[in-house]
Amino acid sequence: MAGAEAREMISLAKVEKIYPPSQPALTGIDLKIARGEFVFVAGASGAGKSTLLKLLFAAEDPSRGSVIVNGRNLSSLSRRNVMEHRRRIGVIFQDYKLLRTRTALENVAFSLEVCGVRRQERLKRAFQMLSAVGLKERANAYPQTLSGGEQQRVAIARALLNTPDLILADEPTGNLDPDISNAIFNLLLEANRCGATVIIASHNLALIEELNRRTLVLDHGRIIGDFARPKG
Amino acid sequence: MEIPMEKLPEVQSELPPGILAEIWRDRSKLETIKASERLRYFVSEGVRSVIALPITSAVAIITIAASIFLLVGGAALLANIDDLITRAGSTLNVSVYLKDGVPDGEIKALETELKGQKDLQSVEFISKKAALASFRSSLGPRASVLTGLEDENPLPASFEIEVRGEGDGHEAAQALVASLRKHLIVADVVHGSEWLAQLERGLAVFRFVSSVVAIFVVGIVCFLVFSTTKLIMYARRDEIEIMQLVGAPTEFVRFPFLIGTAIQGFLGAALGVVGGYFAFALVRSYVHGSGAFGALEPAITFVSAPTLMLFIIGAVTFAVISGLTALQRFMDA
Repeated sequence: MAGAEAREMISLAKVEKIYPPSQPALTGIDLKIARGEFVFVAGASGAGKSTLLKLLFAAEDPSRGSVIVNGRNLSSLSRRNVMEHRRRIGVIFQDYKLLRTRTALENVAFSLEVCGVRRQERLKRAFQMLSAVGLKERANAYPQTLSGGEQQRVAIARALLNTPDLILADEPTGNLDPDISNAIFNLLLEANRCGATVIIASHNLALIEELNRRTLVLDHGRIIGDFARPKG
Repeated sequence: MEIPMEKLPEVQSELPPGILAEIWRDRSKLETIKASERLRYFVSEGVRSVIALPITSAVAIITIAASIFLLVGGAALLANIDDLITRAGSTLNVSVYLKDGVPDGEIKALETELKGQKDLQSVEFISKKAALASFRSSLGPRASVLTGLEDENPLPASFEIEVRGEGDGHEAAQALVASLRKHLIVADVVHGSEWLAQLERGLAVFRFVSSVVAIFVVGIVCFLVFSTTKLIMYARRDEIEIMQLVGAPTEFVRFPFLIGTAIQGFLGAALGVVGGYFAFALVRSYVHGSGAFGALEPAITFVSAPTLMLFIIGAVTFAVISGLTALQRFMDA
């Protein structure tokens, strides 16, 4: 990679996504996001925010167009390469996606476990990260005994632990109170300062305005606005 | 892209300043496990997956155990019935009653002639005196009705002959009976060659029916084991989905699942075999106690060790294959 390509983390060209039988989710998406950017994706429910994120971590294939992330065209990846791609990004889901049979500490450590990191090493790092998100005391608790905010922080800790180049967060503060939402955004800003590209799908307009970052607005599967630092 | 700290919103973060930066700096220092240590990891994860879902695992093990119990019980039952019928048909008794007053020399000559025939398994001479003693013994307390018959014994002397039932024994028995009926010192011949023919036809029908039943039982067992592995897959679908979402390599998903399924398959099959053995021992003890099978009783045996091994290996293999098939379908979807 060199020049503009080296600076680009994400490049989408003429992307369309149509769910069977003929439900369009994204239409005519052309998008470039540079390395180290912090980008919000805003829009009403059903606008295509989650679908856009799913394309970026190869949970969905585009019906047309190309999706290039970190220099890789995701359409041509084998299953093995898709998994490798996912290990290099951190994904935060609205419904947390925690393993119920593992403790908070083990859930956080899981992102290093699948990279083959030694047990002692990964648990040490996971505990460090769990302390960072304020859940040191809940390390041995199972997800079903944690509150929504605690589960989301465990999910974020898991997403950040393998120091990803790209962080995708789908409504990370969807059902959380303002204090916890702020804490979570702070974590993501910190990760961004460390060099990670962060893309957040959110409908929390107050926080979007307050953080003053590039914001893409989606409506019915189309990008209708791309505002770089609107208050800046 | 760095923004000044004063521009950040006022939030109550417990994040110590710079902690992520420290973790990011150390990102390349992580020590990974060697390829040779992966097998131990997969085994420990396989065991953990069984322990982590105790109810699902117990249901899976019990279902597989019940399937193998059914298979072992069916195999033992069919094998013993087959053996019973085969052995019943393997000998045929022919009773040759002699005329009264035949000289001992002629009796001896007939005995020698009979013992020289290769199709006969045994030839036993029963004298008139021995026949009366045997009859008296069978009457038990009512033997007194025979008092006074010692001098005028009405029972004839006889030869009790066992003809081999297998091969050409059936035809040999008929030829023997026909020739003995023409013999001058023979009064009558009582035989069961027609019963033997019926028995042979019955045995052929039984073997056909038992083959059909065996296929049916194996089909049920396969269905139960397949359904059980789908249950294991269903119970772990969230975990597998999450593993895929965080980018777990395929072998991290497949091998622990394979090992977990194999453990459950083995425990279930072993439990089924042990349960089958105890049930068999109970039935054998009952049969021995009842004496219903008389001389045939000692032939009752359990399924052979190689067959049991085959059942266990078959159950584990089928569980693993059907589990991996269900897993692959889920991962492809």
